[in-house]
Amino acid sequence: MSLHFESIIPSLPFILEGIGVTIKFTTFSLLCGLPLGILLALAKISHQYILRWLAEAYTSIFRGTPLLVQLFIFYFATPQITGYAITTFEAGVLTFSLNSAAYSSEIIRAGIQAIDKGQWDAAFVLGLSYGQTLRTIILPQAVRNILPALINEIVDLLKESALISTIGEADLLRRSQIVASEKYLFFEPLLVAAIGYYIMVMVVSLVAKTLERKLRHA
Amino acid sequence: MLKVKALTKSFHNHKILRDISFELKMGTITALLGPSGSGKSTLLRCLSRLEVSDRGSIVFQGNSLTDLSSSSIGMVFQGFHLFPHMTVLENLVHAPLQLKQMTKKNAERFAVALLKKFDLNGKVHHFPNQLSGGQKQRVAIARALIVNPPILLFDEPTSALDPEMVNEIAALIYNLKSPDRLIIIATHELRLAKLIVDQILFLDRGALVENVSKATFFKTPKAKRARQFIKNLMST
Repeated sequence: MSLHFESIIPSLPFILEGIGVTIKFTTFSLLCGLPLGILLALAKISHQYILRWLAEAYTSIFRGTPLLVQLFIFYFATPQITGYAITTFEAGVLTFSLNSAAYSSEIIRAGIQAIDKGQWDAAFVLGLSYGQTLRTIILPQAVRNILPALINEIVDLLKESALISTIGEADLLRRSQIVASEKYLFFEPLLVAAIGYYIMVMVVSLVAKTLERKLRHA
Repeated sequence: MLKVKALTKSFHNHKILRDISFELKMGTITALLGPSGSGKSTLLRCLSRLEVSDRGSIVFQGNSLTDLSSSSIGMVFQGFHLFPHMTVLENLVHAPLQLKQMTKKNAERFAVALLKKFDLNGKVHHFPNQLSGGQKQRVAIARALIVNPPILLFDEPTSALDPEMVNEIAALIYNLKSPDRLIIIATHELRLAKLIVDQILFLDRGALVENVSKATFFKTPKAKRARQFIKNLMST
């Protein structure tokens, strides 16, 4: 066995730039996916049958098909259907936002429904509206249930973001593959990518733990 | 005066309240008695507007219940339902501030005075999970009273607490009696009813079978079900 870490040193900056791409991609997907997830969760607990049905159908579709298939459909089929030449980054963010919204909506719905119904009753008798009750009474309590599971969802999103390398986005994985094929070395650049992902996941987990601790004491 | 007329409520074709009518005067305390499943809670929920009746009307001082402001009705729940993420003081002032019923200064001043009256002055900045059951109940009562509602409802005020505390709760509720307030207590506790109540409404399977003064109820209950109820509870 011969390892040649020294020969990929010049390529390290190129690979590590992929961390920025991965973070940017994950952040965008989260920023679009989370609000949609909240809306879906609210639809799921709504009294309107049609809203509940739509949200359930949405979730079922995005959880019931492979993420990679969804990504391919958005990337390869969008130009065919709409005529719009979608970029890899756009297709990736679109797919991952819509997909993570489906998962996070389940987490948020469960978190809201875990709150005692009596809290709603108490708020309504005091005269608070649905929106005021949700915003000031239910969600602040539900966050404690929601946050740990939601952080897991972010970690999943971060790791699965490696799938965008399959449509050619130059993320951490894609860049290490490029270096691999240039140098005919596989283990070294892929190990660098793996360590890069691991460090990012650890940072997110650390932030999550700190946040959870703070919430428990709040 | 609170006038309830021909109130009917069903859930999934199951009649919970059947044609209930009664009138209650201001300044009185009324007990809502009846076995489990008799419709006490549902009636209380209709009076607190948490449920909408299928038919019938509830009129208070000439206005339909639906037209009253939220400051007209206060309710103390069986499980208290304090907001666990808020301090005692915040529990009291939150709704009046959200609804702009009071200024922050006024609400806090009034809240602190109420808490003092209920012997909770040391607990103003505590969270509900730092309080005993009795303290939680007093906070719940204070929260219901902050906007000084003319209708005050209690759902099973003794059930979540030690049996020895019945006298204490009775005294607490009795002290809230005032000429411009009407208090209704749904309860299983005959001692509580005997101690402080003026009028008794007895429900059986969704129907109002007794609407009499306390003295009449305990001496000569008309309905067979009420006699049974008193006998059972007295023997336990």
